[in-house]
Amino acid sequence: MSRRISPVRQRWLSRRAFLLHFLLVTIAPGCLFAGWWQVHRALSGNLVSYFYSIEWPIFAVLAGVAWWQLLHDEERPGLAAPARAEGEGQPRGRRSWWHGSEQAPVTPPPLRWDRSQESPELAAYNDYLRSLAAGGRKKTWRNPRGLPDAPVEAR
Amino acid sequence: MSTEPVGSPEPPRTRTLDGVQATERALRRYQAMALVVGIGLATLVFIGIPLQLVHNRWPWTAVVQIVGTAHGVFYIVYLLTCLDLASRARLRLAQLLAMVASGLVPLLAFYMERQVNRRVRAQLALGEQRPPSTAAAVWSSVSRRGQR
Repeated sequence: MSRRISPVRQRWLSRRAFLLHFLLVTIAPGCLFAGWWQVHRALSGNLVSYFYSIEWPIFAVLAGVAWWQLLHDEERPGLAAPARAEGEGQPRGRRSWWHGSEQAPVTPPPLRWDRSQESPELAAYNDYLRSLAAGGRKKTWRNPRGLPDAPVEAR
Repeated sequence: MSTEPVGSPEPPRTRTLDGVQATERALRRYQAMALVVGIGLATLVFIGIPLQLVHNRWPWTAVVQIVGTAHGVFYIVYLLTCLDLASRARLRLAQLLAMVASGLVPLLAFYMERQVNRRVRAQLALGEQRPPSTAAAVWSSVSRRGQR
């Protein structure tokens, strides 16, 4: 058995996808029902309801558009999918509900040091460390000033 | 037989945005529409409906009829920008539903716009390649505010 879930299953049968299916099945008929109710109100003389009886079906269509878009959003230019928690590489909510543990772990990208996040003190200290690493004197066992009790003329 | 010269690729015709740019523009569109929808709904609820309650006839119901219809149209556009931003910034579904609801509850849009702005900006500051565990996004926003 392969370690990877097929992309089709991951897209249409993940937990998040089931939540999206549920929302579509709930919201779209609700909007259509509300539109039908507004048609009745408009025919009984309420002028603003003519507009609402157009608007509610638009909401139903928007629910369908959102459902499709959120199922396919990783193909759009945008940010990468968020990790589930600190140190865990799996994308949030993309796991299939019966293959939850079988997905190959995704290795998180390496951390990069961002100098703009340093406080002034930390930046100064890092500069000092860099200058030591670049041009500092070599460490030596010999005391450059001589022995502590050595006479001054001997230097 | 092809007459095109070999080895001279055409420059790309369309200008494509990378993920960070596209998300930032989606955020700006969302912010503009949140402002419009927030002001419209506040006008409707705090001015229009009290006027309508005073006298339920034409000049008193003008605000409800005009602003109400306009708010309906703007709310559709607002929903589109919400969906666009949520899809590009990979927001949670609960966050998207809260953004949708903030076009229906008066004054919630202003608060929600600040929340979403802070969250997405923190995510954008981390860049496209290294994003968004929740802890990292929170840490980034907190540490940035501490410097100012």
